[in-house]
Amino acid sequence: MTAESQAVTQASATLLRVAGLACHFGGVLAVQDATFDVRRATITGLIGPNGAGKSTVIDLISGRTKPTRGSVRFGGAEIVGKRPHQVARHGIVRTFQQANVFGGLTVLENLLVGARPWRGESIAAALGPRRAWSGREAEIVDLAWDLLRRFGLEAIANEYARELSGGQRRLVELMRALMARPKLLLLDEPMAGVSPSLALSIADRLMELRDDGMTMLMVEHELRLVEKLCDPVVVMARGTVLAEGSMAELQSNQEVVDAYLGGGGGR
Amino acid sequence: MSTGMIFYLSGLAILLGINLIAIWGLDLQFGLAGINNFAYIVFQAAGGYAAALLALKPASAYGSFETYIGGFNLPFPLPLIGAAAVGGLLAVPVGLIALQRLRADYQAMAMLVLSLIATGLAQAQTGLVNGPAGLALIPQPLVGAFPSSPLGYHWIFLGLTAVCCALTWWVARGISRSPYGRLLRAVRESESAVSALGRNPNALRMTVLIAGGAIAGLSGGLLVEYVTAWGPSSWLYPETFLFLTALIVGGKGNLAGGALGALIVPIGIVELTRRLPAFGYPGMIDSLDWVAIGACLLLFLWFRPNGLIPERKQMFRERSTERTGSRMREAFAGRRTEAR
Repeated sequence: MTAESQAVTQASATLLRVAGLACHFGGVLAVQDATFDVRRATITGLIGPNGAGKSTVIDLISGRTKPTRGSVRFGGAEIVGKRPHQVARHGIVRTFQQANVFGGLTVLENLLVGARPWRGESIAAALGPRRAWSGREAEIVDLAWDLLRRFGLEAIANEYARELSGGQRRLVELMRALMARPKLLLLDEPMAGVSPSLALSIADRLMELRDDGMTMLMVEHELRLVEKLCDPVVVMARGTVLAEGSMAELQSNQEVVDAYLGGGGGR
Repeated sequence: MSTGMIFYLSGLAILLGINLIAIWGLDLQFGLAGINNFAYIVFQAAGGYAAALLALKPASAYGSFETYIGGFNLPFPLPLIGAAAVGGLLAVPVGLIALQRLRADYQAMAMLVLSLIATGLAQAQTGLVNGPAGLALIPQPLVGAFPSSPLGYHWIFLGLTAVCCALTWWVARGISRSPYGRLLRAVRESESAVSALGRNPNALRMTVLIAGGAIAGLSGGLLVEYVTAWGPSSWLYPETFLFLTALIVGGKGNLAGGALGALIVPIGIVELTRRLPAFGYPGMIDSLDWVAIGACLLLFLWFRPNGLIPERKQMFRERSTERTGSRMREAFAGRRTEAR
């Protein structure tokens, strides 16, 4: 393979390219210079001590926060500065640090809201003939049941999401994101507040998804899980990217060890 | 039963129907989509004025004892259609002012302020809709179309109200049972999650503000054509809370709850206090209305926040268990090839 064709392959393997991203909140520099790539069909880890700017980076990519400068290219298109729903329409779906479910909707309804493409979601469709969307509705209901079975949660399908445990809410949020058939899944601490056994089961599901070709960018504190799931791993500290590589490489990087792994940040 | 009693009861039924329409419209906004539209009464008022100005003859025809713009003398059902259209159109500027860029609690404040401004404007602008005195002599629909006595006409109006109720019921039911209604409930529960799934919550709220506004406008049009007069004192901001209380007592997010609330609050409580023997200072009974309504609202918010008939859970049954996880795998299999 020539160097040129290798570069082309490399470029097509990159799904998300974050370059020089910065964000100030008043005088506080939350993110100074975030630059990294996310390759297709990987789980890219984003780690770092508290206040390193990891969640802000997720917010910047997903459009929840507007960056001061920098670029976010997704599959070749510039998406920086777009609003959250516009970013999501490119195929980037995120989860939140605090599991963000529709509490007054059942688990199954939560999943149905996630499903794409959408049909019947306008007043005209609501007042028009039901058959215009009932077929699609049946399809996504089946898809939702499949997903619930895959996660072993079919028993709570008709429970209100507000009645679930923290861990179950995280799973519902993840399933709802999957219903949207994302090209890139942004996961903000998907295992936080989840029991160790449930965390392992979430980890297994994420690995299955990666093996099925899903691309993920994941903020996580639990380093054993990061080691198991993520390659590569991006280390952030004080708003900048410190290093990038496999967990094994990072563990031998003195700067990373000093800033994060060796300090009090890692668990 | 005496004719007077029949008159009274049929009148009450008409008012119940008009309130029902208004409450169902508010339920779409407040119960389904979670919009704290504290300016709801303004939409009803706008519909009322629109119907009045469309139905009235020019002011000169009545010897100019009242001043207003328009006076188009349009036949039934144009004033009612115009009322609904104006209610819906009003939602656009109101939505742009109050729904964008504001958090839900501030949206409520903005709405309340809009309601107060609207009353102020209607009272100050004498040439527009006859100022604080309001409009009178508003023609009723279908008068003379059927040969009938005054009581007979009452029945005709009741029929018209019933048709409007049925229409509103059909619209509200269609919306709440559709994927669109589900999405509105999702907006109510978490705006950030809805936008993370690719939908614009502001645009969604705007659509239901327009739909609910049109329904409020229709109810205003009917009310004005029934009572034949309309002025700023008929639609002061507390009237919105009358509808809100009805929804909270009956149960928001479902049509039956709204209907029960309409029966209990604007009809039940108000009629009941009216039947009390006069006591205290003049106007004491009227004030008691609001005390009773306020107490009702608080008691329900404390002890039964979901109302007498809570929102119904939408249950889904599992269809088949044969292909466990297979469709999801198929769905993602395509991506695997794309990735390689």
